[in-house]
Amino acid sequence: MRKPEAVSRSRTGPRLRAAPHAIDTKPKLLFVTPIVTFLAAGLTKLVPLDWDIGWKGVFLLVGFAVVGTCLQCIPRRSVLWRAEPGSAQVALKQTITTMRVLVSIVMVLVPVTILATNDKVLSALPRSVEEYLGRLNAETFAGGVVSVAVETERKRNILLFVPVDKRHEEPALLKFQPTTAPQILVSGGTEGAGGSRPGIGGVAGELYILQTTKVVDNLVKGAVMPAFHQFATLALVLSGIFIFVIFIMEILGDLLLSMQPKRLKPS
Amino acid sequence: MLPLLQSLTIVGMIGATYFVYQTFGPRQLSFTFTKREKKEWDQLVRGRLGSWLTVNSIFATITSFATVYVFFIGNTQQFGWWIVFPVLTIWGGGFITNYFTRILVSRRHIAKRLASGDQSKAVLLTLVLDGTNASIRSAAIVRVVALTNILAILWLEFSAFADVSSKLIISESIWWGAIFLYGCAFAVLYFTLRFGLRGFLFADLFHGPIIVIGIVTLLIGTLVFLVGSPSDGGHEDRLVELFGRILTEMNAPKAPAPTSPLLSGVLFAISCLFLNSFLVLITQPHWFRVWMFGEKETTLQVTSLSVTAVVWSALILIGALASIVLSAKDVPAACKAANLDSVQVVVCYLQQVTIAYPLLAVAFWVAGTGALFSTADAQIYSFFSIQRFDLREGKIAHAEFKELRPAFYAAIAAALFAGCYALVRFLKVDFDQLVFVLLPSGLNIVPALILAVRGIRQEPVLLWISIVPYAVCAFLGLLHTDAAPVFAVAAPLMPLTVSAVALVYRPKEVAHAKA
Repeated sequence: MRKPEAVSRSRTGPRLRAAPHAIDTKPKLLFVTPIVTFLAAGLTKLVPLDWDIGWKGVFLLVGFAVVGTCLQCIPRRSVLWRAEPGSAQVALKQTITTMRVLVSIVMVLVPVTILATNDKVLSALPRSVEEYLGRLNAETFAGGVVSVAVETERKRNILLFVPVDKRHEEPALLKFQPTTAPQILVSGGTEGAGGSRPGIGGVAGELYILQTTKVVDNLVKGAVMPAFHQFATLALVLSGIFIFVIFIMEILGDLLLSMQPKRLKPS
Repeated sequence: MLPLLQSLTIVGMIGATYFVYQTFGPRQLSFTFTKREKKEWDQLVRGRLGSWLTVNSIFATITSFATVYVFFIGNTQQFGWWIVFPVLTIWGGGFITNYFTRILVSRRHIAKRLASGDQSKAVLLTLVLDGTNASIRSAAIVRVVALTNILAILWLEFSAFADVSSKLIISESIWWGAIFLYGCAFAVLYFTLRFGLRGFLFADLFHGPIIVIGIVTLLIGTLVFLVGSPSDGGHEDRLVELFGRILTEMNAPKAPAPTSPLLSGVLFAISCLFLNSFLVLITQPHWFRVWMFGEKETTLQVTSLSVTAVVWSALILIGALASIVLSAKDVPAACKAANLDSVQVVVCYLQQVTIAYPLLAVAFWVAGTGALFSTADAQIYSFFSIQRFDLREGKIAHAEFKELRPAFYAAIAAALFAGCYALVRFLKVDFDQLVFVLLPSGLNIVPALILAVRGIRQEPVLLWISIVPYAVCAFLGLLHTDAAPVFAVAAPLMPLTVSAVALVYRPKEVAHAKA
């Protein structure tokens, strides 16, 4: 046997009476996200906080603020639909709600990521990688190993990377770049810093020492960040498209339902 | 990176379209509207929404991916100023469409059918039917022509889409193209059959603005790309220089040898004049709109086509800018060849501009996917309405959704389209020639419509006289000969000549009665 309160909830009457003070079709609170995004875009440039996200980042934040405002400006007419369980309106209502939530998540996540990719964080990344490499135990890394023995009198033939900040050692990457014409090295000669001997494996070229911090810095600023900005813009474009879809669903769905007097009263 | 961006955009657009279809609710029992639904619909479209739906539907349905979007961007450098003809003729065609539609709708038997609320009466074939055996035979021929035309348009759409996307995303191989075609055709056909058959008009409400936004972004992006590219002068000088170069490009069309630019342009203009004058009138979506929106279809026809003309002009401008982009020094030699077809021009142009602005590919695919869907869904709905029309009963038979089997039909159709694509690419048939030959095939309906407008008995022979020479010219137009462009343009002349005959034709019994 059902509980008395469950029976009363299943009836239409109480629901209708409860509706006028319960439903808000334009909740002001949800405007917080675009407003905060817009403020964040302005603050990164106006306040000297050393929080530079670049002009692309600022434009993207403004874009997300505008698109987010558009999303919140769409009247939430679907909340007024008094849909029967299992009906098409319920499915549509759920779809609209799900899409609103998903787009809202994107509206928060991507701007936060943009703010996180500021100059301060990006400049800390190469140093972190360097520290990690410094702590790394090369023997247990299971990479390749080359035994090197440099005699004191030949040091002038080896390209050494000298850290600017007076540290004694700095991790570096080695890159072998083959040359088109084989180089001939005379024992004790001065041709080509770090040059490998021809005949060994059939290749000749230069062995370059690349500063890890610079490699990571270049990689982040030259490849990762442009790619991130592209995907953030794509997220912005797709969010805009889906907000347009939500608009169509709200307005058109409401118009289709308007012929049936089954709506709750707005607050 | 760029392939991923493009793939995500296409998938995102397909997903968005799916949600728009969802607005119209779950599948009903039948893909046709009941009389009660029509009554509700009439209430719904009485206001501004009806006007929006009408304008968007007219614009989005005729702005297709293959025959408009890719065609204009890819062919502006070939035709120069002649490319403006389709814009002028499509706008002028609005008046012709209105003239013929109003006469046909004023015929008592047609007006009665359209007012009945029965969707079957909005099928193109009913215009030809007048109860006689001759009219049934004519309607049978019209049905074959209309279905062939719809299939041709669908195939062109999917082929162009697969061609451009596979070349940009993966490789130029025929097999990748066929695989892409199968994927996109299956997705569009399945989604439309499964969810959107009754909701294609609502989808146009989404696709219309999306196409406009995509095209405007592409235009501005290309301008910025060209203004920002290295030059001797400042930015102000650059804009003036760019304007001068657009004029130079338009003044000097680059028709592929051996055709002279003048001959090629004149033939193109003649073809456009015939095709665009009747393009809207002979399509099934037009007659559905007449049934659904009533007078709005004729009163808003010219407005809608004016919007269409403006957007097509923007595409022409992009085409002119594309030819400037491809004339730069650092462009690969393969992209500078004189005999590039429109698809290759579009691919080369996008490859160049996306080096500096990868997001222009997003704008291109947003508008492109919108154009593909908006045309395809309307054509698919038209296909089933015409194919399932019972000529004896005069109504759509077997309109139940349970008989549609979306996955099965979509898989079969996509496989056939992919096979045809592989064959055409293998035979190296020119894509632009295919557009010239296949798109106007619907004009073979015009003689029957003229007889219906005049209110005289249908003559199936007139249709055969139109179709047979059209088919011969079309076949000759696809061969690799010097005269092929002439034949391709001569093909639409055949139905137009027969239509002119139909205008003055007098059936025997009329002469007998007069005597």
